[in-house]
Amino acid sequence: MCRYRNPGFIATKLESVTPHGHGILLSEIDSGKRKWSAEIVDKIYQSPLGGECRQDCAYNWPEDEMTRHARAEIVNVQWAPQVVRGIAESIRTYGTPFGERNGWAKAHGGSSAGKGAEVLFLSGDAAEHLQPGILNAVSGLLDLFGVRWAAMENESPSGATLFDLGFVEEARRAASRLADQISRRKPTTIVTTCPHTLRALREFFPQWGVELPRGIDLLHTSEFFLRLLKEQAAGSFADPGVDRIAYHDCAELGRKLGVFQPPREIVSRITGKAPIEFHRCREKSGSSGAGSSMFLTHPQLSVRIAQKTLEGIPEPGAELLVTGCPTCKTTFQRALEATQSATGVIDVSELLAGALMPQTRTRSSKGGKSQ
Amino acid sequence: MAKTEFLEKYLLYELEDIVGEENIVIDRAEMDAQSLDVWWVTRFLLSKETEIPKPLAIVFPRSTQEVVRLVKFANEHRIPLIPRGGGAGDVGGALPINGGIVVDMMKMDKIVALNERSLTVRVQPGIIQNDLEEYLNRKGYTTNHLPASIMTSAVGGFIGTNGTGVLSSRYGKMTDLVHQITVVLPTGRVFESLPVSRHSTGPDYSRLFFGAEGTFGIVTEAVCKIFPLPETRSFATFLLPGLSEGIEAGRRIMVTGLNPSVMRLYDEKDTNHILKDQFGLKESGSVLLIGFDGYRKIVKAQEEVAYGILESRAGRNLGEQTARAWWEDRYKSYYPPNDYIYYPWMMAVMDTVAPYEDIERIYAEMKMAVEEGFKEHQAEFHAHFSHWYDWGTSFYPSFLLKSYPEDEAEALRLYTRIVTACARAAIHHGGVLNEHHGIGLRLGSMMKEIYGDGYELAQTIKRSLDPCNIMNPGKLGLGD
Repeated sequence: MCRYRNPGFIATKLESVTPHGHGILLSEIDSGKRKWSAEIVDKIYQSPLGGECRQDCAYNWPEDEMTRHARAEIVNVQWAPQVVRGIAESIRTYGTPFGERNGWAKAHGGSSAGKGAEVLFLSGDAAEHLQPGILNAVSGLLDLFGVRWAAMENESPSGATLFDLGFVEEARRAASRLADQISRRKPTTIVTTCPHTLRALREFFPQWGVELPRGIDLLHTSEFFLRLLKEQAAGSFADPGVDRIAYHDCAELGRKLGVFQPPREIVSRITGKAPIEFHRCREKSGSSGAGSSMFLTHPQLSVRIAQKTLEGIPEPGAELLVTGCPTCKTTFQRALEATQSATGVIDVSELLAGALMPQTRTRSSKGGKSQ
Repeated sequence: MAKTEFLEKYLLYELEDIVGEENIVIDRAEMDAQSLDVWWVTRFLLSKETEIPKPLAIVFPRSTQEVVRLVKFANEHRIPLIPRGGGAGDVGGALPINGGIVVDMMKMDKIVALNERSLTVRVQPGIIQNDLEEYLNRKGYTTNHLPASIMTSAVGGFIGTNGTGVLSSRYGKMTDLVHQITVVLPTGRVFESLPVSRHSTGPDYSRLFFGAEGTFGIVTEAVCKIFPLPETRSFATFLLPGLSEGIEAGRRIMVTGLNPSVMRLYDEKDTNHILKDQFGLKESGSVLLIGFDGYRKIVKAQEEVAYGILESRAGRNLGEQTARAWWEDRYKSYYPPNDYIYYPWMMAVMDTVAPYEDIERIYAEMKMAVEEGFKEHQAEFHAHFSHWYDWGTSFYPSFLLKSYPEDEAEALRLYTRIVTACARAAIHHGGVLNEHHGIGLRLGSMMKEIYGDGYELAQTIKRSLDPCNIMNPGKLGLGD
C-alpha cells in the first residue's frame, strides 16, 4: 500500500500522514464520526503532493488529488491552519509567500525589457527569496546566448501554490492575472526556473479555463538552454571541479511534467558523463520535502524528508547534487547542512552558467541563499 | 483517576525518558489512522458509532535496549504492550483491545549486516519487506519472501504470523527463511536464539515466536536467508478439466521432487472469470499457473517433467501469458477493487492447509458451509490453491456478501457465524485454522477448539513467559 513510498511515512513512520491515513480520517469526517480539528487538519497538510505513492500503486490511486480536494474543503470550512492562511495572505498581498514582493525583475529586466521580447522569463514565487543565484545564472545565460528576453516586474503568482494549499478560487484568479500579463507581452516562448509555475501553465491553466495566447512555447530553463546548446556553439565548458555529480528529479518537473532528459543532458555535456542516478529516479524519484510549500508549513518534516531521499544516492555518494527546482535545492541544502555533509547542491542553470562563464561560478552554500 | 489520565499526567514522563519525547504519539488522529488494518470488522466499524479500541499511547522504540526498558515499564505498571509492524494484518492482531501502549516497531528499520558468504542478512523487524528486497536486488540477491503485502508489511510481522509469500512452494514460510532472532521477553530479558536453526542443541526455542503474534515477546532483530537472483523465471498456464484433476496434478508434481516456485490452482468460479476475461474462452475447468526459477537448464528440465504430469491429467497448456501477467501484477491482489474489501461488502479470507488426503474434502465442506449455510444472504465462495508442499497444500478461500443486515450487531454476528462455519469446516476435516494470516482476534476463540486440552501447553508457556500478562493480551485465544 502507500506506506512504502510515502515521503511523510518514510520520514516519520506515522500512519496519519499517508494517503491511507488521510483516507481514514476523511472517511470519519465524512461519516460524522469526527469533526475537523487542528490535529486532523495538520495531518492533511503534511504531504508534499508529489504523487510518489501512485508510482507503485496497483490502482494508480490519485492520492495527491484526494489530499488537495481535502484541503479545498478545509479552506472552505475555514479550518486552514494559521501558517497556511499566512502564506495565502502573503501571496495575496505581495505575490510571494514570504511577506515581501519580488524586486529582481526591476533590476534585471532583461535585454529586451519592455521592447517586444521574444522570451519571457518567469521566476516563480520562491526563487528570488530563496535562491537569487539561480535567477542571476539564468539571466547571465540568456544574455550569453543573445536571447531577446524580458522578466516582469510584479509578476503575478501562477496560482499553483494557492491551489496546492486549498485556495482554489484564489488560484484561478491569480492565474488569470498572470495570463493577462503574458498576453500583453506577446512572447513566443516562456521560460521558467520554477517547475511548479511550469506545471500551472501547462496543466492547471487549461483545467481552470485560463487561456494563454496560442502557440507559446512553455519551457523549463533546462529545456530551453539545452535547445540553445544544440542550436549554437556556446564555447567550451569549464571543468566543474568535481567528479561525482548526481541529479535529482523534482516531482513537478519529472513525474508530473515528464521532463527527465534535458537536465541530465546538460550535466552530461558539461562533465562528459551521465549524472549519478538515485536508486529511485525519474518517475519514481523521492521527494525533496519542498512540495506544497512544506518548507514553510512543516520545515522540520520537509528537511527530514529530504534527508531520507538523499539516502538514495548510491555509495560512495555525490560531491554535487544538481536539481531543477529552487525549492528542492533549498530543502536539500538544509538537509545536507543538518548532517554537516560535504555535498553541495546547485541548480542546473547555475551549473551551466558556471561551466560557460566560470568567472560567475557559484558553489552551493549550505542552507542559506546562494550568491 | 482513569488510567489514561494517570498515564498522561505521570507515566508519560517515564516513557519520554525511555524512547524520547519525539517517539511518543498520543494524538487521536494517529490512533485513528492506525486503528484500521485489513480486517473487515475494523473497516466496517469505521463508519459506525462503535469506536475501535485505542491505546493510551503509541511509542516508537529504536533499539533492543529501549524495548527492554519499555517492557519493564509495562510490567511495573501492569500496562499491556501491543507490538505492531506494518499494520497490514486481517485478523485484528494489533488492536489494543485491553488498552495499553502500541509498540510500533517501524522505526527499527535498519539493514544491519549483509553476509554474502553465508547468504544471510541481519535486519531490524520494522523494515518494510519491499525496501529490503530492493536493497538485496541491487546486490544481486532476493529474500524470495514476496507476499502480496510486501509494500506495507515488515519482517517482524511476518515472523509474528509465520507468514508465507507467493514463492513458498519452493522457499517455504518464515520459519524456513529465518535463521536467528533476538526477542525481548515479556519480563524484559533478552533471548537471542542460536546462530543456526537446524541443530541438536536442545529444542529450537526460536520457533516458539513464529506465529506467536507478539504474545510471547517482541522481536527486535532477525537474521534472514537470502538467495541469488535466479538466472531465469518461467511461467505457464494450464487448463485442467476440474479441481480434482488439478489437485492431483499438483500433488504429483510436488511428491515427485520437482521444485516449482509457484503453483496456483483456481477453482471453477475463479477459472470462469480468468478464462472469460483473459482468453475469451467459454470453457470450464480449473486453471493452474505454474512457475519455476533457477538455472535455465534445470528450469527447462523441471518444466518438461511437470508439464508431462499436467498433460497426463488432461491439462492443456494455454501458454505463458496469463501466468506471467499474474507474476508481473502479483501485488495487485492485495488491493482488489475498493468495493471488494471496503464497506459495504462483507468478506474474509479463510486460508487453511491440510494433507492431500483431506484438502479436497475441506474445500467442498467449506464451500457448502458458505453457499448453502448462508444462502439467504447470497453468500459467494471462491478459492485458489497456492503454497504447495510434498505433504499437502493450502487453499485460499474467500467468502463475500454484497448485502447484509444494517444493524451493527446483526452484521457482526453474521460475520462471526460465517467465519466460524468456515473454520470448523477446516478443523473438523483435518485442516487448521489458518495457513499464514494468523489468528489475532478473528479466530482466537477457536484455538482451544482445535487444540483441545493440548492448548494448556500454550497457556502454560504464556503464563510462564508473561506472568503479568502484558504482552498483547487477549490474542491467540490465550485469554485476558
